[in-house]
Amino acid sequence: MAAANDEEILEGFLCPICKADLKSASQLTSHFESLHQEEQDVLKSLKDIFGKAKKVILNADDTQLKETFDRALKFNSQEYYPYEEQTVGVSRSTTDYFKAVRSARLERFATETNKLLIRLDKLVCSMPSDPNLRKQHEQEVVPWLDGTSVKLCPNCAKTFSLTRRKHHCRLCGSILCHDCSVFLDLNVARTIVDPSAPQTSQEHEVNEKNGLRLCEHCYKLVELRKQVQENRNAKTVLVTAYEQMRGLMDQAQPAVAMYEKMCQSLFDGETTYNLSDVNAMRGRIGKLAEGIGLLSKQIAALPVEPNMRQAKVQEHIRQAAAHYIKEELLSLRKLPTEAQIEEVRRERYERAQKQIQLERQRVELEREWRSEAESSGSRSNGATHDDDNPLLEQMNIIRQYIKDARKELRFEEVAILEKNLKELKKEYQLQMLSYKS
Amino acid sequence: MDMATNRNAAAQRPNGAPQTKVCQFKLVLLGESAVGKSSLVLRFVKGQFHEYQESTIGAAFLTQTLCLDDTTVKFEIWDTAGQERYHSLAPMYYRGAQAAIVVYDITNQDTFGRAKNWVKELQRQASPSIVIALAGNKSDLAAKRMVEFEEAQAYADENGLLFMETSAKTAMNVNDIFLAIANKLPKSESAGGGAAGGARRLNDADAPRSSSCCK
Repeated sequence: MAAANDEEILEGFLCPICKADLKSASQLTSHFESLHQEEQDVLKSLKDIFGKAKKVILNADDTQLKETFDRALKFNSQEYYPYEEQTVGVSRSTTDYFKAVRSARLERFATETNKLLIRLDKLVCSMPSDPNLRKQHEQEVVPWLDGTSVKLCPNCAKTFSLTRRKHHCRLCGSILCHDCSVFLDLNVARTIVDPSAPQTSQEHEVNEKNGLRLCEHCYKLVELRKQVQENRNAKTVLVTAYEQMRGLMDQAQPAVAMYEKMCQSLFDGETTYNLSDVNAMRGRIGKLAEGIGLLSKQIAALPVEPNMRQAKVQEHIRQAAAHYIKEELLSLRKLPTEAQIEEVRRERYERAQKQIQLERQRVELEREWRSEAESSGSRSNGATHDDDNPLLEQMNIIRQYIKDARKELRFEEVAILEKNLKELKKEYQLQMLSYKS
Repeated sequence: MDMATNRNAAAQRPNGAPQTKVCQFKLVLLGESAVGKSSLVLRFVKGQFHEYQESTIGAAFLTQTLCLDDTTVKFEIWDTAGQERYHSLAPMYYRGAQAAIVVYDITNQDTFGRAKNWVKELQRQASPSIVIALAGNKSDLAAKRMVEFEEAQAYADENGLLFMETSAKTAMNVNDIFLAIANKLPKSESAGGGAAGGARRLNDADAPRSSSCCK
């Protein structure tokens, strides 16, 4: 019977008349009073003498404290809620007291942990492998509690017996049963006392042989210190993201340089690269720019308390990245169109053709002149089969290389190979000419 | 009625006469914080219940339409924040309201005391014809009851309030209390025109009384 309503629920400091969210109680009150008071009054009564009187009284209430007080007294049976904002009364800071209590507590924890670490250091550093010697060594470092009068495990209160043996915590020397003891991996212990030692992260069962028997209390303290150490050395999310971003930028730098070179070569009408190569390069730079932008956005969006320096740093990183992308990566030279390239190439080709024509004419003239000189020239026309010319073979191999390099976007290689190929071509042409002549 | 006809064009008969009339009412929820005002409204409007309903900031506005036999009642619901510091905003919201639900928590005697104060404030400062309903919420927690049903019923009878024990969690009496309010509200022709028309009529009668209590 109740029809569902799809409208969203409004919530906040909503004005009851225009339903605008005014963000704070005081703003809402002033908005309501300034914009809707009259409206309300008109609605209340067209000729409302009482309303005016009431307004006067209400205004007086705001200014005269005594009046308010009297009114509050009149309402004596009911609680009175002042309509204005209350001012803060006498306040006292207890931060110093809190700090004193806290630092005493921290001090106690720190000294205890330090004591344990010194013991741990001694234990671990010159630990003999022989079990008996090891036991002796452990007892030298930490005096073990005399267990003769201890009948129950202090932790779980179970009686010691033939099956439930007494054990000692290797750090504080207190007595405990096997079930209540925790083992600290010796390798882990070594990294705790010497953080510069290589970390070994093999997962294996820790037992009495490769671990230290500790009570829960000592274990927690040592573990806590380890965590503090790790936290201190751990990179924050911000740093990792920033490093990733720098990595991308480093990749982008040579890519842009390469692109410029390729672009120039296209404009010069060289055939080293074709348009699709350059387009692929452009795509790669675009991807890098996208990655940098994404990372910098992530950095800027990292949660941080406002007005902290970190927030500023994040904002700066974002701005710098945006600037970098705009200036370096997106301001790339426009590529020539296929037609333009065709044009440039044709011009170049024509020029080359002319050059060849001239060369040929010269050679022709020379030959005529020579044949005139020698009536019969013995032509030393060597048997040149195109197929097994080593130059041609070489050229084919290089073409294959170029193809491969192009596929893998290694354009520097392409350039070198193309140059090589050109030289070979020239050589070949010279050879042909010399054969002909 | 003209406005009502426009709004309800789909429900018109071929001859042009409206089949049902539409009445719009402003309803406000009041009560101590954490008694379940928002939960009650959410259950009524969306049929949902959240175990951890967040505390309302300022006020929330929702609408819901009920169909009675011959009328369609549209509630404009103002769900106010119960926290003490927002108390001063409440008059803005109950001003011109035709109905109010004062909510208390049956497992907490203090909230019942606060509810009585709200009723008193409404009787003194809201429009005199306002329909007030008292809702003893969290009736699913009857085992921890601190406010007796009889006590609340007696108080409601004394002050002429509608009274029900509700549970937003189990949906018990939630629709019923809104329905009871809808039935009790006067569905005169002027109320059908929307809040403005209704408000004017109510406020004409309201003026002398409200001024007399603020001397």
